[in-house]
Amino acid sequence: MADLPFVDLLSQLHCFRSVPRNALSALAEVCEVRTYEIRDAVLTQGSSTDIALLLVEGMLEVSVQARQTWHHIATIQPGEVVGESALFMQDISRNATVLAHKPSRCLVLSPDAVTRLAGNPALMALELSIVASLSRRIRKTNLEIQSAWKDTHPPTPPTASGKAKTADKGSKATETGKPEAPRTFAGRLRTMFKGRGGKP
Amino acid sequence: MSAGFVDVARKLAESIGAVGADPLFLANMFAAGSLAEVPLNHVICTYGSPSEKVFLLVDGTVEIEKPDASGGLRPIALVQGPAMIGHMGAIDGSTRSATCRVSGQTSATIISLDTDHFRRLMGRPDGTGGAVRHLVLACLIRQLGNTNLTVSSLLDGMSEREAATETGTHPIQDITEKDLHLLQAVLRGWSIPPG
Repeated sequence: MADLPFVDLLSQLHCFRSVPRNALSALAEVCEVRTYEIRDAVLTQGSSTDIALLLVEGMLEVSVQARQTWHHIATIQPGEVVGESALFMQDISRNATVLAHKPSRCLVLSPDAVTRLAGNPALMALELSIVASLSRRIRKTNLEIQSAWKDTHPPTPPTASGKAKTADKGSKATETGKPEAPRTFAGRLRTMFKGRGGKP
Repeated sequence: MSAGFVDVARKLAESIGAVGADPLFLANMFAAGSLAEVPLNHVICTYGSPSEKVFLLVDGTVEIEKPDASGGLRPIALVQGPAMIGHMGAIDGSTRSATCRVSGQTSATIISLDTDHFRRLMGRPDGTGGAVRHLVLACLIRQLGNTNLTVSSLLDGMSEREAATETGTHPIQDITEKDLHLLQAVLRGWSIPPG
């Protein structure tokens, strides 16, 4: 871990690049700091705590368990927030498990801290950063859904008889031996959403 | 501040499940826009056009329409007030992803807010800014969470049909275009998961 004072670490995060140092000091004063070693559980799927965590240093990995299988969902880098659903929405239980991938330090964002920090430019910058991040995820998901639909539903030119020809869905493996993307839109969705949907 | 706006703001925050979106402050967002009674069938925004307004549907129903493969408009969702419509364009600068038309039996009560004004409200350091940010955060989180639920719902029951497809015993069966539109409507916050 770096030996920089905590506020200096905060000031290096992209979301805080324009935030005055005194606002970051106030954030660090109000919010608890938690330290994790490799493989420590940061958040647990199914639990019902109402905090979110800003990763300040280290790296986290997000996984979802579905039907006894763990699916890796994402890697979290410094400056990113995990668990924001429980902080900004009522009655949310964790839908993923977060483990420390490297020794990590996180700032705990609790409802009480959010109330106490109302008007603090650091909190405001963080909230706007989460808005931007969620918006990018929605846009990316929408593009992936559209792309998967187009891939699995190619245009079917009419034959001489006027009937639409059935699209060639291809084989299950490519010549390089790599598994081909699922042939159906449902299969593509299952791959995209990493086992979150559908019965076995 | 109009008590009516506070009441609608409370209902909107509750329907989304937003934490920290104080209705007293949120009502300032309603008061900042232009209130109008919009007649039945009136189009409030058009697919592909610039996102210049955020709409707060106070009362009434709005139908969401998207172009289908033939280029015609196809209804994909109905939004009941109170609801926020068109916020995605204000957040990410995208053009309208659908056409919105007043639907149902009567006119709709709609507050229009300039996109720039909405962004300024989101960036305010006071209670109003905090309430708007928390409402928007809850909206976006809900959209993503509901998308996961919708995918689960769509994939339930698909597995057996897919298995039959893979073995070649049945023609390929898949999620339909109607389901695709449902998924996109949920992702955009116009619809909720089935069931």
